[in-house]
Amino acid sequence: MRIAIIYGFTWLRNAIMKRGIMRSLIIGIAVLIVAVFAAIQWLAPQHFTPGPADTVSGKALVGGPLSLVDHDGQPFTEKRLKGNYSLVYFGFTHCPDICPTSLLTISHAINALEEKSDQVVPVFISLDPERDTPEKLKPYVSSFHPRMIGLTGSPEQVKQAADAYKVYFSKVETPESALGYLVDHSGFIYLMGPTGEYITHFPHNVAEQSLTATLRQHVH
Amino acid sequence: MLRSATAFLAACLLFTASADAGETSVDVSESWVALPPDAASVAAGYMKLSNTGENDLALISASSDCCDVVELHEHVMDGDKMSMRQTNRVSLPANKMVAFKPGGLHLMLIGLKQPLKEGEKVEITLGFEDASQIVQPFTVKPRSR
Repeated sequence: MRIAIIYGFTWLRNAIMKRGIMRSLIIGIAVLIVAVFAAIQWLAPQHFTPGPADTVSGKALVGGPLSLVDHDGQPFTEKRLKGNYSLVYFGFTHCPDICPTSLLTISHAINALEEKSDQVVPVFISLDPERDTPEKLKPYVSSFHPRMIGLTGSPEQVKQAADAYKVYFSKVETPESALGYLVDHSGFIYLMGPTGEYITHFPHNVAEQSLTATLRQHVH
Repeated sequence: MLRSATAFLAACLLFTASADAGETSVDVSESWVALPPDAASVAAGYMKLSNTGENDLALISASSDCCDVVELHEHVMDGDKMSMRQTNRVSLPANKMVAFKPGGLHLMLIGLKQPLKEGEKVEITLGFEDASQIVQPFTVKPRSR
């Protein structure tokens, strides 16, 4: 990486001396673009691993403002979750295997809290806004839990929400499949507190009992 | 002329098809389709495939009248990243069992024609590399916890 940058600059200096300024400028911009892309590639893996390191400062780096559309087609912001705990999961309705399993776990873990279950809101945020319209999300989320909130929005809104939760996702074209495309994504379940603060996260295949146990430590 | 040629071709095709439908050494068990959430247009099917024969085989296709297409999909984890990928061939080594189960291999039922109901049985035709086929009933049931 560093060698590439040094090499790039040396080459650029030589180019300026030898050739016209306009040509050098174009080459310079090209070198800069390559450097930026290299930096993005280099930093990317850290993007989807929200670990304990993110919380050592005591300030949540996961979560924050949301501007989405709920399953009734109404605008949604994070303010609607204030006062309650929430379990937030990102996925897409064309995911037949992992997403339903995680959503069922969330739903059962909340129900296991019995009279305290009202304190936890299950939230499903779609990473496939093209296909997951509010009309599509409404019956989908309610078949998991009567209080589950399904969220979608414009591609920009969804991207912003995913970024806020450090969720990696990428649309993958699958021309051989009848689905056309699939969405690769990181599949954590996030527990957020009553003021919207990040508490912890769980893997997508967390056991229902361990999810319930953690919830019990917080609800009262 | 054209008509007789077509008839001849059809006869040939028919002959090939009947010749292909041989015995298979694959046993299918515990076949089920996870009851999909309401409004879902896709569903996942699971099963156990035991190749009881001495020859290696492979599952290469699946189809059903209950949906537009059935594809073979595999769930793969790359660190924290989850991907689903279509696969064209699932190896069934001789004397081995291969499980299609949640979080791994699954049949992907795409474009459900009608909502699936709990307890319903859907027939899925499985096609193998040796050109044999099995029509297997899959019971629709909720995912266990």
